[in-house]
Amino acid sequence: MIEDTGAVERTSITSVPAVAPNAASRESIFRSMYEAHVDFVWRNLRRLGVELGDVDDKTQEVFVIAHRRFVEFEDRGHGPRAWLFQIVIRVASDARRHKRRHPEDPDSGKLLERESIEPPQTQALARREALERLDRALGTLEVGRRAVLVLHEIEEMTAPEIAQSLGIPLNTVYSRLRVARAELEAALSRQEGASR
Amino acid sequence: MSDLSTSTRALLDAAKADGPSKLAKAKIWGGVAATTAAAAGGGAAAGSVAAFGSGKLLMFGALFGSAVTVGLAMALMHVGPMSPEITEPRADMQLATPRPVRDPAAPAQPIRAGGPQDDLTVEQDDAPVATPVGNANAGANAAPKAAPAVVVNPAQGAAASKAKAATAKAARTAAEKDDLLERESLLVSEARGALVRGDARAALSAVHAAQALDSHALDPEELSLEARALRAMGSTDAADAVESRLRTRYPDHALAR
Repeated sequence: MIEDTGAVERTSITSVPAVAPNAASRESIFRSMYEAHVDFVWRNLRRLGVELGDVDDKTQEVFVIAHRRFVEFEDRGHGPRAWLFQIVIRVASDARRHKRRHPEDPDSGKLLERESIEPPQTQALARREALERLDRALGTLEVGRRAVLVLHEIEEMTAPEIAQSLGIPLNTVYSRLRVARAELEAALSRQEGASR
Repeated sequence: MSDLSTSTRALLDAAKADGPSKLAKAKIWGGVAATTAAAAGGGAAAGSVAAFGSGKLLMFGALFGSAVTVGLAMALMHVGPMSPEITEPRADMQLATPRPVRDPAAPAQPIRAGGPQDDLTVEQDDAPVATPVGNANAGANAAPKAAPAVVVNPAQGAAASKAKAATAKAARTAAEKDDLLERESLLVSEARGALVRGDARAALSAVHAAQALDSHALDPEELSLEARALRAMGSTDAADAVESRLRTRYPDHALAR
C-alpha cells in the first residue's frame, strides 16, 4: 500500500506527502523512490551477475515491475530497498538464465565496458578492473550466499534486515555470510594466483 | 564470523560507490516513464471506448511527437557543426589565392584584360566578374573605379582565423551539446508521457527541468507542453500567457498556430 510514508522518509525520500496519494502524487512518490534507489538497484544487478551491457535495461525492467506492483508495496520496516531487492534477484536470475541459453554476446559486453572508460583514465581503469575482479569472484558464489554477502558487505544491511528481506531465518543469514566470505577470499586468492 | 582481508575489503568498498552515470539514470527513467505511460494508456483503453479513443489518440500524438522531436534533434545535431565547416574552406580559398597583398588604405586595382594566366585561373571562382585581374604592376593603369569583386579584403584573413577558432570551439563543445540535447529530448519525452497519463504536475516539472538546461533546441515543444500542463491543472491564464510567449517567439512554428 502507499500509506507507508514512514518507510519512504526513512529512505531519504523527504518530499513525500503524508496524505493518501492520488495518481499524480503516487507518480511523484515513485519518481522519488527511483531517484533514491536507482544506484542500489543498478549496483546489485551488477553484483548479481548482470553484464554491464545489459544492466541499464535490467534496471529499467526492475522499476517497470516495481511501478506495476507499487500499489501492493507494503513496508516491513526497512523501506523499499528490501522489496526492490526481491525484484532485483528475480530479474538478475532471469538475465543469467537467458545469458546461459543465448550466449550471443561473445565478449560479454567487454567492448562496451572499454568504451565507457575511454579515453584511458588510469584511476577509472583501475577501479573498473577491481570491480571486474570482484564480480568474477562473486560469480563463483551460490546466488543465495552471494545475495547475503552483497547486502551485508556492500549495502551495509544488518543481519535481521537481510533475514526479513530474503525471508530466511537469522541463523541462515549468519551461516551464509560466513561461508560466502570464505568463498570470496578463496576465489580472489585463486584469481591472484592465476595472474602470477 | 570470519573477517575479510584488507584487499577484499577495499574491493567491496570500491563496489559501494558503483552506480550508473547521470545520463544513464535519465535514460533509464525515460524508459520507465515511457513504458508505464503506455501501460496507463492501455489501462485507460480497457476502461471505456471513449477513453480508448482518446488514449489511442494521445499515445499516437506522443509517438508522433517523439518522432518529430528526435528528427528535430537529429537535424540540429547535423546542422549545428556544419556552419563553421562551410565558412572555413571559403576563407582558405581566399588565402590560398596568389593575389598580391595590398595595403588596406591603397585604392583598389582595376580590371585589366589580358592579364597573366595564373590570375585567370585564380579568378575562376569569381565567375560573375569574368574578367582577369591585373598583376601588381598594373597600378600604372589604375582606373579611378575599381572592381570590388577582385579586391583582396584583409578582413578575410581575420575571418579565416575566426572561422577556424569557431570550428575548434564547435568540435570541443560538440559532445557537450549532444549530451545536453539528449537530456533535453528525454525530459520533453518524459513531460509528454506524463501528460498522456494525466499527470500534469509531473509534466510541468519535467518541462521546467528541460527549460533549466543550457540547450534550448526544443523550446517550442517545451512551451507547448508547459501550456498544456498548465491548462490541465486549471491555470488557464498562465497557459494563455505561455501560449502567447510561444506565438511571439516562434510565430511560424506549427505549434504556435
